[in-house]
Amino acid sequence: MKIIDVDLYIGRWQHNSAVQSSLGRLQEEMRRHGIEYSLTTPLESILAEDNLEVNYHFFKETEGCASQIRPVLALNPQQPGLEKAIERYIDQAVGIKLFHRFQRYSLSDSLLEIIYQTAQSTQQPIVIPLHLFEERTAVRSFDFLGEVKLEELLQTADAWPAVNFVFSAPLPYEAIELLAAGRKNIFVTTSFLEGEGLLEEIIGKYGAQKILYGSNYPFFYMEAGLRKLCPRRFSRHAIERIYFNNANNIFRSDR
Amino acid sequence: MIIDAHVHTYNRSHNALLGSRCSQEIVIRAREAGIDRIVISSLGRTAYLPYPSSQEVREANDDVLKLMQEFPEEVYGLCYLNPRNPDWREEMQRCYDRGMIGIKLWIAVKASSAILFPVIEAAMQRDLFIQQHSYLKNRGNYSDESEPFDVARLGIEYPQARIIMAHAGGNRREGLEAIAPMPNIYVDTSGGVPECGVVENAVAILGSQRVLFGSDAPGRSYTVQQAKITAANIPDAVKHQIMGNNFQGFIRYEDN
Repeated sequence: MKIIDVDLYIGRWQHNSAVQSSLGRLQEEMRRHGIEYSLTTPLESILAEDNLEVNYHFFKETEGCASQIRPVLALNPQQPGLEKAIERYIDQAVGIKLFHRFQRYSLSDSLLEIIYQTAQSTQQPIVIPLHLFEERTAVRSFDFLGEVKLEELLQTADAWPAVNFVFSAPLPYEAIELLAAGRKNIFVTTSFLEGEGLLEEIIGKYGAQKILYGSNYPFFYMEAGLRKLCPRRFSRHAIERIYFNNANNIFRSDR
Repeated sequence: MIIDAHVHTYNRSHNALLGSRCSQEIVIRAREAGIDRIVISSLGRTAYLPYPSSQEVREANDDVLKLMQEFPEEVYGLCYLNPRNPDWREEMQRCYDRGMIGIKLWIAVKASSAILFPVIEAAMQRDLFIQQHSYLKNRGNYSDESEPFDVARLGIEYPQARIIMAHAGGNRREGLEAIAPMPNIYVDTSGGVPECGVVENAVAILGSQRVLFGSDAPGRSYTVQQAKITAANIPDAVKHQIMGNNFQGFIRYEDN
């Protein structure tokens, strides 16, 4: 069965030495776990201070393996190089990623206008990770992280109905609220969805068409994500949608 | 043998997230996940109750006793207690008489509180171990929620008591280091997201024998929590120990 991993990172996470993955290691892990291709962002982009610089290194590093590692353009609207990074890399990317919680800005900030317009004109989805790590016990540097504002996410999706928004790594109750809102352009990923019966309940209520597979590697073990969709509990059709078809439909697969 | 040292019963508050599940399902799902035995407690029939009344404690423990009767080969029961209730001793005896093997303490009293001492002494008299919830949170714990430092003090006060610090105290280095000098304190790996490095850290600080596999199902998944160990960068023999052998040693269980 083909698998697309939507929640993957490459590089080093400066706050935890266990969270790192070189390109070679990522490719090896993907091969070992049968991942067809991944939508990947550099870990360094989460706290980067220059859009152009972080993307330059990332796109250069991954340019020879685009069939396996498909780059997602990480943008921080508050940092320099935004327009140039879009201009230079949008055609090579399969989506745009925003870390608004971790970079401390609002999704309704006017600085994001250019990003939403770009996504609309290029038909690229915007991926917005809601969580990355265990916030209860994370280093003090992240004490500022408050609760996810679900209303803000819904308003953003409503303001840009032609743009697909992938709210990746929601907690269970966040995923349920986002799916229950019934927006056509909202998708969620599986990386933080855990509980005995949780995915069955979600799929039973809202279907599988809005759920994408994500591992959140290397924050999480790749193996952990792959253990969620037990064939005994889910139809083959639902598993195929989550593992491959949904992501393949909304991310540009012609690159 | 795979033993999950930290499981709870389904309760009514789970329904919104996990659906309405029959009580037996927690055992059946463990079996499907390849787990041979589960160590289970109930923190309340309606929800996880931090300060349950005597009746709520009895109801919770009755649910566990029922599972023990239905699945005697697969279920080890823990007796949930609120040490602030005047009749905790009677409830401990009732659960002990019916075959429970340990005490479950959540957030009614800090582990370092003298209120808890008679409970620990009574548990030791019956050769019951203590599974003590513990977390070290950035933004502060609940008022009576134990930090690993509280558990460490308990371990110093009662060096002969067998204690499991649940959730590895939140898996933070300082928490693990706090209990490291006390060989009578083990940790379970339950709860939390499957972050890379957490089990490796626990093994590095405590050694391989004091780390026990736990899931915290049903709020967490059996299979995902197993991956914290199976995917960890530790030797296979150590994984094997954590998944079951260590717990067998912990309860002095010799059967295979």
